[in-house]
Amino acid sequence: METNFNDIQQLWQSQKASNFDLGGLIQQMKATEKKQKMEWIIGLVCTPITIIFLVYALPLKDSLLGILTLLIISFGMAWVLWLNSKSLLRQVEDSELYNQRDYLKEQLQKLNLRGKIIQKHMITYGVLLALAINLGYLEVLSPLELKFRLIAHIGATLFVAGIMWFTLKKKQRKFDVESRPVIRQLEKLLNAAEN
Amino acid sequence: MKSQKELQFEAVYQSHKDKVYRLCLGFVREKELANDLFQEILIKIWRHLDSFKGESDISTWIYRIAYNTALTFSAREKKKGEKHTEIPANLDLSEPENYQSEQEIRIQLLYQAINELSELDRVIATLLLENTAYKAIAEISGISENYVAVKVNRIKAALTQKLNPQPHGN
Repeated sequence: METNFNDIQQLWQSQKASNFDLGGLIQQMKATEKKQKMEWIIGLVCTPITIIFLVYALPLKDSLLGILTLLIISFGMAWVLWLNSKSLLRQVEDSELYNQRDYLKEQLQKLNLRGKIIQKHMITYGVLLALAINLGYLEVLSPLELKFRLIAHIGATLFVAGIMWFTLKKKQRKFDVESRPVIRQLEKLLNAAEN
Repeated sequence: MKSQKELQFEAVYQSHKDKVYRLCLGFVREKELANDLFQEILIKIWRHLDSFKGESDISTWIYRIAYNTALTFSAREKKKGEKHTEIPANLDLSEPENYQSEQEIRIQLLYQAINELSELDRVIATLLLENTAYKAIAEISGISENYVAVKVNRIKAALTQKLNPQPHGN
């Protein structure tokens, strides 16, 4: 007997979802939401606390170099927070507006931004951090001998460069393994949607 | 006592669970993966239920979330080297002895046919199988209604041919 499209539709619709522990899932999601809210609040509170601590705990606020150091550190922290929030994949919040093509474009944009953060912005952040530390050292270490001051400057710069190098390597590897293949796949889908 | 959001979520779940589950099976053929995708979609619906403004039909909103999630899920799974030609482990492939097993084999053929389509055609095919109007398909997929009609004809032919493997005279 030939199967027509109506039969196929009936066949398809005969499949039902298996039993699912919805109550358990809701409880799990409520717990996750609570945790995420707490992490967000901690993040929001920690940034200004760190800046206030730097202002009051370090002898920086009374000199031009010190103020410059604090400003660079504050700017760097705010910039990182902003970049991270921009790269989060929060597309479904506007799902009413997103059709598939726009969704794919948005996903690609965000994933590419993640790559750009690693390849470009994190290096800029490292340079800013090293600059801020060196400016702070110029002020704080001024009573010391030139030899000690030079060692401190070089040491701090190498330390920041080393930390940044390891972090960047690790993040780049993770990006290459996890995000790059997804980017390629999404680009293929977008091409198919646009042709 | 249940919150308003919980009640709304449960209502959405009851009215859409079968459609969303079938969509999952259309994208990933292994039952375990389909369950993972189903759960991921439910989590996204829960997380963004508050942001639903009622500017579109709730079904369209859910489909958009479901299909967009399925696309990224299947992109991630492809990355892991999933073999799309594998036969789902949960299906009985023995010779048809009664109506039940014959129907299962037909379902298996249908999933196979859907899996052979491109991701975007798969979206259209699964929507079509749910009797979704062309206008809604166009809204969800982001292509024009006319182009949906063209694609629908091709998809219908491909699926019908797959479920009627004997050659028919032209």
